[in-house]
Amino acid sequence: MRIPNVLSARFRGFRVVNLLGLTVLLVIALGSYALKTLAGAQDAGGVAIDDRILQEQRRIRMLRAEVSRLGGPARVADLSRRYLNFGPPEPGHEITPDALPAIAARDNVAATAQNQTAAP
Amino acid sequence: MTTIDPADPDGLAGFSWPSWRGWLSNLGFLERAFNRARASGRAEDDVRLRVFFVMAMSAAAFLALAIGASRAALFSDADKHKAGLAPTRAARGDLVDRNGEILAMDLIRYGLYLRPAEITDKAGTRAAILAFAPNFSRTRLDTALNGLPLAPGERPDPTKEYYVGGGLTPVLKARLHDLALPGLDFQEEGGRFYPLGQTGAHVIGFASNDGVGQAGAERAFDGPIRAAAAARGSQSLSIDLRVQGALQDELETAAQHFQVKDAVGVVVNVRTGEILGMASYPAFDLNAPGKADPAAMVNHVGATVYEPGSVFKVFTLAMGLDTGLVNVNTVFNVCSPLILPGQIIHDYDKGDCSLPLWQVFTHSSNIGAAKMAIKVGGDHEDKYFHAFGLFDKAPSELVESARPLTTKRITENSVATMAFGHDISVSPLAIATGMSSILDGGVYRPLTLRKLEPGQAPAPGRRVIQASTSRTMLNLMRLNATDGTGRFADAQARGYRLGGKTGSATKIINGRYNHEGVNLASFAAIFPTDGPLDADRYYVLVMMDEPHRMPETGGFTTGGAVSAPIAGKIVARIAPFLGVRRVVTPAETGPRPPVDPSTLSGDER
Repeated sequence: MRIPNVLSARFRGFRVVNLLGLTVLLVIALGSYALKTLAGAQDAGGVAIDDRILQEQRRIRMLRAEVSRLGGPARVADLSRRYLNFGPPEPGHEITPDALPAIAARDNVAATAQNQTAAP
Repeated sequence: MTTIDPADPDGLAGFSWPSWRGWLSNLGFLERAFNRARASGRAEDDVRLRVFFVMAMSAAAFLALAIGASRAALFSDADKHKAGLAPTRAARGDLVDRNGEILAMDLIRYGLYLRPAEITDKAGTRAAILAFAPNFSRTRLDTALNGLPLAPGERPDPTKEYYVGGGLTPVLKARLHDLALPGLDFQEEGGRFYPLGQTGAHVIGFASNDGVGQAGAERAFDGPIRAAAAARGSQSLSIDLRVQGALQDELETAAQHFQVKDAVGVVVNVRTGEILGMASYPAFDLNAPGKADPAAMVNHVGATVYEPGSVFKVFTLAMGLDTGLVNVNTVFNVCSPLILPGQIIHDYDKGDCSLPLWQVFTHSSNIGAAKMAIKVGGDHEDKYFHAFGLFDKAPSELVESARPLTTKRITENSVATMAFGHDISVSPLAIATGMSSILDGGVYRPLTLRKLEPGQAPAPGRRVIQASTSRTMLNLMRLNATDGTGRFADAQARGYRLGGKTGSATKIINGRYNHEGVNLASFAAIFPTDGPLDADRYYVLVMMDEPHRMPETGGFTTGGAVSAPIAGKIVARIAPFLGVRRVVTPAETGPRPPVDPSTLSGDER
């Protein structure tokens, strides 16, 4: 079909090309409106999520600050001294993992000896 | 009369669509087509063409607008302009220690404002506010609730908004807000929070309310900290919080016990030049610097200069040995005081007469050190002390680095007295920097508060003494801790191969040296003294300014009696954090074998 024929074709008295143009315009207008509305709703949701993230980040920072304050070396040292009577370890308090079996064996011998002494 | 061709009712035969590329240049074609249509009497073609053209243009314009609107709606860049998320000019990034522990951070808090005109239940509002914020000033709160004038002569204005107090956490603010009390308003106020309070106060420093660093690392790294805020990152310091805590705990406990005027402590990794801990006594609360005693805010590590006393013999002996003019066995006569023009130099009476250089060190003989310095010469002393950085302020990121007080002219007297740390006043930071260069293999590099990342090479520095001299000094330091004036330090840090040098500088009181025990008691420690020269090795400097006499030190206020045990305790506490293992051998606890001087000299190339 030649283009001029397309341009002059009519449907119920209206030119098809006009109807097509009108349809396209309506689709574009409605589509734009729908897209804008959808995007606006999603944007609002995004803002709300951003706000929640911000609040959570602030809460996390607050908690980090609190953890840092509670775990500060001066505070921990003071508490452990005051309530647990802890202090810096002496050389005799230190042991390496490979020496632990020997200590366990020594303790077993001591426990056995104690049991034998306690037996009638 | 117009005739219509049935095969071409629109009269558009021969009409063809111009290419898009030719549209602009062929606009005239349309006008000519309209003219032709009019001229040939086909007016409806003219109108039809014009309607079609306008419609096409409108559709194109609308399409363009629709595409633009859709793009704007779907791909909005509004997030980029959200003021609430963007860092403000005053925002500062977190300051963290080398292990990522928080030292300083920006925290959002809220200020409470009252509009008294809207408050009907004043008593209830007052009780509610004080229940959540008991630290708020009652006077200020009552002034606000009753709309009273803030200044004398001012007229009462209940419609005004009054500031009651700040520092409300988001949780407290939310709870107060949830009470729905009328007349309450909250304003967001940024603020710097220092969770550790007094720990590391001087090295961390603080920032002003408008977010500008005022002291310490906050000032030294002001630019990087702000940049870290923009990048939502943090600025790492070389400080190790565990080391800092132990250092400050021991220092403050001892400082309070000995009732000192002030005290300093520094811990340095001499291989890298990183400062791992820095403490100055008295300390202050970083969260309330405005309430602190100004004297307590002085970082004595960098900002105060002291006549250091015998710890300076480390520099003197390093100089002498490095020149090759003396060795550890060179003997000096210390039987009688050294008499110089207008000055007599004495020793603590230890019954010494002839001392080899290694014993000059372990007995801390002023006469021996002075004679050695005179033998080596003023030119050498000037050159080496310059190289150790003792005649300049310590190079540091901290602005709190004071210039030394030095003699204007090198004379025989000054050469002799500087040899044992008199006639020169330097900051502990300068001493730590210079001494690190002697104990790290012989390379001078500025100490730094910047954390070196794993694998990152330290600053190249410049060689000031030979490696063999460095090794000899490590051996002498160790010998002094086992057999010399530093024994009390080693006793507290058994197994860590600690070395050290004591210093007991007589203080100048009212323009004269006071010989009644008013001292600056110092101890410079290094551990472990064994191992390769390029291994990690840690330097600890403790200085107690004017300690009082105590029974457990036999009434002595010397570095060996006061500061050496403190340094030993610090070493024992921080060594596990630094990966230095305790190795207790029978030689550590049993009787000491006689000293073999031939083992003291280093042979590193």
